[in-house]
Formats: sequence, C-alpha cells, structure tokens
Amino acid sequence: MSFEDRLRGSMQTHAERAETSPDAYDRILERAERPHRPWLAPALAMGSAAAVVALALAFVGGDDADNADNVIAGPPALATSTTSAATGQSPAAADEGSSVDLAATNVAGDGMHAECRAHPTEGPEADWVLRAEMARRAESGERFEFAVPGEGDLELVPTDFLVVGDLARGDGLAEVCTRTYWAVPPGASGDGIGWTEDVVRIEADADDWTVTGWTIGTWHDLGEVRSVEVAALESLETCGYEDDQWTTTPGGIVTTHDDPLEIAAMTLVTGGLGPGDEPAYGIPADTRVLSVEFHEGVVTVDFSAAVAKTMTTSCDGSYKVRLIERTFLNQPGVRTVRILVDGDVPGDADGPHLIG
Amino acid sequence: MGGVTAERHRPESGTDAFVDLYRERYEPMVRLAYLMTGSNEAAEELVQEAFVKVHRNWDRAHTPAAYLRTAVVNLCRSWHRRRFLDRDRRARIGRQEAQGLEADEMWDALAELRPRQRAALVLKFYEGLSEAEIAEALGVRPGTVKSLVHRGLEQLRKLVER
Repeated sequence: MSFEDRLRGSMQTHAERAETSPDAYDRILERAERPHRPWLAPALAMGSAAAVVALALAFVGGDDADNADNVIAGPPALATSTTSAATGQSPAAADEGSSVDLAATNVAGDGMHAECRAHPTEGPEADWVLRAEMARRAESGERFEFAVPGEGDLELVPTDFLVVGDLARGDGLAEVCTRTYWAVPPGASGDGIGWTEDVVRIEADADDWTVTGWTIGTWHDLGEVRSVEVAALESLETCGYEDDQWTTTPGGIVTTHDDPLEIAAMTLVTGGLGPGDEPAYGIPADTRVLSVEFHEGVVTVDFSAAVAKTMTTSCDGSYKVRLIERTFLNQPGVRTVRILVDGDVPGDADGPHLIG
Repeated sequence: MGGVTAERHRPESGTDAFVDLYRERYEPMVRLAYLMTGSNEAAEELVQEAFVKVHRNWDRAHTPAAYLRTAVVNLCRSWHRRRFLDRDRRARIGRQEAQGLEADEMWDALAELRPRQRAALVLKFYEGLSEAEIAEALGVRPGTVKSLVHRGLEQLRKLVER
C-alpha cells in the first residue's frame, strides 16, 4: 500500500467517526435568524467611526467566503447612524438579543473617545474576552491611535488582519500586513503588537516564523480608515495573501510596496511563498526584489539575484509579465484590485492568470 | 436529520434547495471539518456556521455546495488561526479526541501539519478534488496547491517515519 493510500485510509477511517447532532438543522436556522454583524449597531451607537473600526477589527475574524461583506456598512449608512448615535444610547440596548454582549464606556458623544468591551457569550469564541480601544487625538488632526490596553482580561485580539500605513496618500491601501495568528498579551507593546506614534511594531510568532520591526506610517482620515478596512480584506483575498504567506518571499518584499497592484504582482511573480518556505519557482534564497515597475502594461520586476529558468526571461534578474487588465473596483477608498496578466508565471505556466 | 423546521425559517430564495443542501452536505462537511480540525465539537460548530453563511448569502451563492465547502474550509483555517498560540489547549483537544481510538500515526502526523497544508491534503485525498477545485476552495493558485500538497506529503512522511 502506497503512502498516499495509507493517508486516504486514515482519513476515511477518522472521517467516519465524526458525529453529527440531530438538532443541527434547527440550530443553523436559529443562528441564521440572529442579528447579522452584532457588533455594528453598538459601534454605531457610540457615535464614532473609530469605534466601528475597532469593533470591526475585533469581530471580523477568519476568511470566510463573504468576509468582505461582513465588515462594515458603507459611509452613507455610517453617517446616518452616527447622527442618531450621539444621544448616548446604551450600545448594549441597541442590539438586544444578539449573541454578543457588548458594553461600552467612555462614550462622550463627540466621537473623540471610545472604549469597547465585548464578551462573546457563545459560539466557538465564547471564551474570548476582548477589549478594544481607540482614541482620537484632536490635537493631531485626524490621527488615530489604536491601542491594546494593558489591563483586564484581554486574552486575544482576534484580528486576522491589520491594516497599517499612510492612508492619506490617496492610493488607498498603503500596506497590508498580516492575516496571521497573532495573540496579543495584555499590555502588548513591543512584544506582540503595539502602536506608538508613527510606528507599528509587530512581533508575530506564527508557525515558526517571526517578523519584527515593521515601521509604517500613521493613520489618517477617518473615512479612509473606514474604507480601507474593507479594502484590506478584499485586497488580502485578491492579492493572494493568506495565512502564512502574507509577507515576504525569500528576502523581504512587501514592506517596500505601497500599491496593491504591486503587492499582487509580487505575489504573482514569487509564487506566493511564505516565510519559512523553501525557495521555489526559480527564486534563490535571499533574493530581494529591487524594484517593480508598471509601464505600458508590462510589469517588470528586478531581482537582486539571478532567477532560474522557470522565471522566463533568462537569468538576468528580470522578469516580465504582460498586464492585460487592471481594474480597481469600488473606488474611492476601497481598492479591490483585479489584474490579469499573461506570461510564464513561475511554476504555473498554463496561461493567463486572474488574481482576484 | 431530526427536527427540521424548514417551513418556518427557510431562505426566501432557497426554499427546498437549502433543505436539500443540508440533507446532502451536512454530514460530509462535518467529516471534512473533522479531518481539518481533529475536533468533532469544532467541526459541527464550524459547519453550522458555514450553513448560516450560505443561508444569509443564498442569492449570491451561485453554487451553494461549492460556496459551503469554501466556507467550511476557511472557517476551519480560521479556527486553527485563533488557536495558534493556545497550543496546550489544542494538544488537549487532540488527546481528548484520540481517547478510545486506536493509535494512528498518520492521523497524529496530519494534526501536526500547518493548517493550509492539512487542508490541501484533506481536500485532495479525502474529498478527491482536483487541483483547480482545491485552489478555488483555498483561494490560491493551482501552482500553490501543488506546492502545498507536495510539501505536506513530504512533511507527513517525515513525521510518520520519525
């Protein structure tokens, strides 16, 4: 019996041991009828889009099929809701009956400060206690500081992603980091994840790799923050970032790029390798991408080292694909990127590839 | 399937189709999720959540079965993600689930793979999906699937022979 057959047999044996509950269907329907986005109404009730972002970051976990839709209502809905939210209505009351018990304090009604504490009471996250805090600094204009407080019973910040970067540049998504496995201890700063002024520092221990010292810009513009949070999810999906493949390939690439298309291209040309993966698709270890250019429909990537034959155009460190289509959807703010390229994609040379 | 009360709650646009989907796919999806998580409790929970997502997005799910499978796969991976650093707990779950079962080094080794590798192997060797189908379910390119399967098998061999 081959190894693969043994594997099949083992899977089959164990799969047959899985048991199902007789009332599963009713439970599904019961859950389907619960309020969708339970965090949204309380967040809106706080009168702070920052709170919305905080709670969205907190509650939107995973990369389910409709994640992008799970995030946040668009700007018009938000504007409408925040108008009525300044009354100081109890956020918890705004969502009675939800599976999430939410309470909020420090809601001044001016949208300047918001502190949210959430206690999911059932479901797989029932043991989570989350506290997210976001404060708006009037003296610094539209700067926001999103911090993990160092007290209480915070055990896990279930953000599957983090959007960081200078959002005022107008190019939407400046940098997207993660979709990873961070667990943030109470008081995390420096260890785990922390925001200080203009610097985001991350130490993420995930699947045997560690990333440290990412330095990125500030958060600007409330509206952009709101939008980009959506963009992040979609861009993560469309760019192929997921789980352990979000950062660099051999060498450290992503941090230098500020355009989703470039990020997508990076994923494309590097084959979506993840940290710790062995080099593949003809890219030697420690190879760095020196530059990425888009000109007349051609993506040109210069590598610091010669790449192998699978990278098509010889071993001069240059690789080109022809960009057939580049579409930004949902502008402004949301920067869903779809690109269609043609060329010999490393390791997968079976024709044009649509990312997204 | 006890206690079905679809007449009361079924999706407006789904009607009997959602019930049919449940009848046909619930148990297979629980098995799939079990292989991906190693926890029967989590498997049921996640599959139910996946059905909820299908229910809510019925109009957008042009192929509900595929949508459901993708949701299950993604939820399982998210489940692993959330528990990444809670290794003791994960190990505890594994031990609990293993009690009463005969030793199976392949199963134990599978549990040690990275979630994405594990998912790729389960989809290939249990579900019997093509690389294109696995790529769609995982949201990666087919080339990445090849890499995941290859490295997953390689890692699995090392673990089993250890």
